[in-house]
Formats: sequence, structure tokens, C-alpha cells
Amino acid sequence: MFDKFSLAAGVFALVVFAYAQQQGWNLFDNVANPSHGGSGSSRTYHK
Amino acid sequence: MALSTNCPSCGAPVVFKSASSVFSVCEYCQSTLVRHDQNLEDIGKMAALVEDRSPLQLGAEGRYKGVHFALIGRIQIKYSQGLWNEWHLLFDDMRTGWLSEAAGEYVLTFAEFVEDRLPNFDELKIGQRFVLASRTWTVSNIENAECIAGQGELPFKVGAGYPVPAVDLRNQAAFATLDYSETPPLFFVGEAVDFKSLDMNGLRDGMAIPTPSVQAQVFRCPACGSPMAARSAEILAVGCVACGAVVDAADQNHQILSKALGLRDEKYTPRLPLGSKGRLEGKPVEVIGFLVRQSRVDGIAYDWREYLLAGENGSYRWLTEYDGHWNVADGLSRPPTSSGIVELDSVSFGGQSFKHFSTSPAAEVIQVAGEFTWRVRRGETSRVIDYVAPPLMLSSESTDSDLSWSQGFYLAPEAIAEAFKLSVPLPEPVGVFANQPNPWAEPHRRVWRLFWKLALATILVQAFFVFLSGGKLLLRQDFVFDPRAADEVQTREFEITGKPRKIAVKNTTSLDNNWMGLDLLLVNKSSGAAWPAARELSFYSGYDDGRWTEGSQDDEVVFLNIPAGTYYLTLDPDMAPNKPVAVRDSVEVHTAGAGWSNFVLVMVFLAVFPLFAYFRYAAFEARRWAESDHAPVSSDDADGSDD
Repeated sequence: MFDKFSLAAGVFALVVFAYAQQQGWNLFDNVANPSHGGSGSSRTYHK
Repeated sequence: MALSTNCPSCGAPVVFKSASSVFSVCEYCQSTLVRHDQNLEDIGKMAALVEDRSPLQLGAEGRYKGVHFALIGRIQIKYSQGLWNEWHLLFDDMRTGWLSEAAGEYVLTFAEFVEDRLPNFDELKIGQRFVLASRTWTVSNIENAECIAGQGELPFKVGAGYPVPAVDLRNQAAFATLDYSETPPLFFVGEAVDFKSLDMNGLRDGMAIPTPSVQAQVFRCPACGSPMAARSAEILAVGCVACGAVVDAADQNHQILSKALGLRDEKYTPRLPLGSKGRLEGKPVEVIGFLVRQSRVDGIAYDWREYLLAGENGSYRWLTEYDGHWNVADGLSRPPTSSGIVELDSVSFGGQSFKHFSTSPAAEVIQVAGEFTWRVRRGETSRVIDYVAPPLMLSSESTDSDLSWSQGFYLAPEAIAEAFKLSVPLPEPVGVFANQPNPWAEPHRRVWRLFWKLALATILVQAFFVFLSGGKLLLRQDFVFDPRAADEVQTREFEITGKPRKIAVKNTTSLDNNWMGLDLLLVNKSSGAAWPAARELSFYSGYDDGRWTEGSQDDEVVFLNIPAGTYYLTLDPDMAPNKPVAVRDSVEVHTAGAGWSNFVLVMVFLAVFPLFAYFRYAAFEARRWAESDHAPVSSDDADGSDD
């Protein structure tokens, strides 16, 4: 029972890990624009 | 070549089949005849053999390792536990050997000449180990036996009352006997053999299989008059169920070995009544004997129960019970060689390593009921050493004259109840027993195996992202910021290609006991889209009982999901006005690679399961070993306080 649970939890963790890496998530990053996402997050810059 | 002649006493024909035979007992008049070339000398009558139930007789034939042999002589010997026969064998290749027959056990040996000095009889002790004929031996039995009678052809003189001091030696591969009835002593080496494997024929009628389950004797307890029975000649002692007296079953007068108990302790009632029949490993067994042993440690008495089981073909097994834990045990004819009576940390046997668990210096028999194959007495003690490799247990039991080994296998009470079809459930086991299998051992192994597989998969995923995505340097440019002219600066342009990416900007400065604010702006040249980031760097250091630092000269900030295009950065410094020191800043822009924090986190998460499995497994082992001689000493025990 416990080993089946650990298998399920381990596979789930592995999938989440792969997705997080693919997305570039990193808990310890200093993110410049953490509350935004995608290209629409920027503002237009005028010199 | 055989020598045929006539008995000088009665004239009957006497044939010496073996050239090495010097003595022969006339089968008609029992005269002991000594061979002198072609003449025979009569040196007196041989005592009569004691009737036993051996299936063997002179003239019987068999095969050993493919070589045919015949039984040409016999010596009957009396020892502390009864009688044994030594059958003199003549092989077709003219070798002679000996087939020892005792308590249903058969050992075939050959005389071996050794140049080594043989130890004196008095020098040897049970369990002593020494090297002889380039092999290591352990003394397993010391007997001051006595010859009762001889029969047929023999290579030396024997007679009634002839002393036969003998020492049995064992190692895992062989069995040996040192026979001190001759000077110098004789050394015989051989092995235990299965009776059936000898393919014997010409056996005594009605005794083709050496089984003790024939010719039971029934008698009355000399102490209380209760009926008692011994099922075979191998039963040497019977404990009275009614009064507890132990009677010598082999003695015609049924001499009492241990007196009757004043009051039988009801707590030692056998859970498997004498006469209970069951099946263990598919083979029928019957409970014929029950005894209780007790060992004292620090004044506390520990007692366990042992049941002697009669099996098929004269075989015997044991069931032991302690606090609801059961073991089925068998005697070992080829015991471990690495240990005698001295306890070792571990013993190798049957390809397994057994760890020392406990030593009971004086395990005392305190209750006896039923039949036993040795002259058991209440009050007799033995030294018991247990080694464990769950579910197996290896036990050595030694007295001053005997050393025996047995191997036990742990059984759950349910298995015993099923084997004997008990209607009343057996008591639940208390605590963890020495060789009780750890129920968490297999899950522990499975979870660790799973962990290694998942860890490998995680490493491969991490390697994929590290090597195949990110980490490419897009820009490196150095600036010097002067607080007196801290204007905004702009980097060179750089290209971001492909899908939207995570971009990292790293500033490495020469700040020293200083701070600096830095407003970054990542700008897409063609669209004008910009991503701001405000950073503050500070770095201070000094000496105060040693060097100290605070803050960092470096900083890294990431921009997520930056689309492809041509970009540049603007950097707008805000510097400490009261410290007019220029600060160098090296700016690096690169596509961000896979982070390691997720990797570390997922590895920690995956490790939780095997660690939990390990602690669960280890807790069971700790409970097991807490009952051993190797239990960790608690602080309470260590300080010797009595409260």
C-alpha cells in the first residue's frame, strides 16, 4: 500500500518537476516582473 | 584374499573376508578368535550382544559412492545416552570402513593416518577447535563409552567392558572420530549419510526402514503409578505427565532420573498437548515431548517451551515457543565450523551470515513431560548461544560433554494453529522475537528501489533541461558609474531567438562598503516594449573579532517569457551621495538555464518515502535488538541508579 502510494506520489512529483523546469520556474529567482506574464507584461518605452 | 578355517573351539567354519581383520567372533559358539597366519587362537567367549532394533545385520550389503560393501563385523558400545553400533564394512575395492549407527543417525567413516600429533583425550573440551590433517575441527562430543560385545570380523581386539574413550569432531564438510581405545589413537574421517542412500539389502526381517515407531513399551511411573509409554528404543527418558517425575525408559527397572514435582505449575501446561498430531511443511508430526527451559538474566527468569516432534522415518524436530513466538527447529549434522562454544559476532552457515543475538550461560530444564531421545533431567543446564538471520535462527547448545547445533525457522502462531488444527487460538506474540521476520523489510527494499529509479529519471530530466535549454550568453559589457555624473546608460543590442524565454541579467560590481540602486529596463528595439526591474545592491565588510561581510557585490534578476527580437538594456544608477567613489559594473545577459532549486526540492520530496520506510524498518529492528545481548545501554542503565 505504502509503496503504491510512494510510486504515485513520486511519478506525480516527477511530472510536476519536468513541467516546472520546462516553464523555467525557480523558487529562488529574483523575478523582475513576477506579477505579470507573457509579452503583454511590458510597458512601452520611449526615450 | 579371504581366509577360510575352522573355529578351534567348536569346529564351525570361520571366514576372514578382509586381510586387515585380526579378530573374529565365531557366530556359533561366540569364541573370540585371534588370527595368527593360518591358525586361530581362542582367547575366550565374547559377551552376548544386547538386543536392539537395528535393521542391519552381518552379511547385509549396500553401496557408498557407487562402491559395493558388505557388513563383516560389529561392535556394540554403550554410552551415556544408550547404545550405538559400529559396523565394520568391507568394500569391493578392499577398503574397510565403519558405519556408525546411533539414534537413527548413520555416519560412514574411514581410518585415516595422520602425521600430526593427536591431542590427548584429557586435553579436549567441548567446542574446542583445532587443525588436524589440514582441516579445522570442532569437538562436538566426548564420550567415555564402553564396549558391550563384538560380532564377526574386527581389525582389533574387543570385549565386554573394554573402554572406548571417543571424541567426535565436526566441520561443515565432514565428521571425524578420535578413538582413544588404541595407542596411538585412531582417527576416522567420514560423513553423515542418509540410510536410504546406502541402498542396503539383506537387512533384518521386518526392520527394512530404521524407524523407531515400533515396539512401544508401556510401563507405570515408579513415583505415582500413572501409565507411561516409550514409543521406541530411541526414547531414553519419559517425563510423567501426572507427577513430573522423569524416568529412564531404557532402564529395565525404570529408574527415576528426576524426582516428582511437589506441585505442577499450571502455567507450564503445554499449548500443544502431548499426542497432538499435525503437518509441518506437508509432513506428519506428533508431539511426543514437552519441556520448559529457564534462563536467568540479572535475576529475571525467562522461560521458553520446547516440544519434541516425532516425524516420519524416525526423524525428530522441535517446536519452540517464547511469548507467543514459535520456531520449528532441526538438528544439524553438519554444523557451522566457525564457532564452538565461544560466541562470535557472526557465524556463516548455508551461505548466510548469522549475527550473534544472545547467550544463555545456564538454560535450566524446569519441566519435563513426555518422551525424549536423551536422558533429560530437571535441573540439567546447558549453555545456549543464538545467532539470527531472520527468519532463521542458529542455536548451539553445549554441556560439558556434548555440543549440538540446530537451525530454527520462525512461524507465526496462525501457522502452528493451522498445522495442528487447533480450535482455540494461540496467544498473540508479545514484542519482537530474535528471528521474527521484519514485516517492513520488503516494503523498505521496494521503496528504495523505486526511489533510485525515480531519482535517476529526475537526474535525466534535469540533465535534459541543463544541456538542451538555456545558459547562452547574449551580452557582456562593462560600465563605470560615477556618483557625480550618475547618468542612465544603455547597453549594446543583443538578439533573443526562438520561443519566449527566461532572460537573466547579472550585475557584478566593485561595491565596497557602499550601496547602489539600479533601475534596469529591458527594451525591445522594434516594438518599444520594455520590462523594468529595480534592484538595490550593497556590500559592507570589516573586522570585529574577525572579518565580517554583509550584502553582496553581485545581483541577478530574471525576466520571464521574453519574446524573440532585438533588445538592449538601460541601467539608471542611484548612488550614495556621500561616498564619491566610482563603481565598476560588469553586466551579463544570458538565457536562463534550468534552475537547480526544483531539482533539489523534488529529490528531497522523493527521499521522504524511503526515509520513512527506513525508519519504520529500523524501529522494528531496534525492538528486536533491545531484547538481545547487544541492546543499546540507556542512560538509566548506564548511571546505575536503582530508582
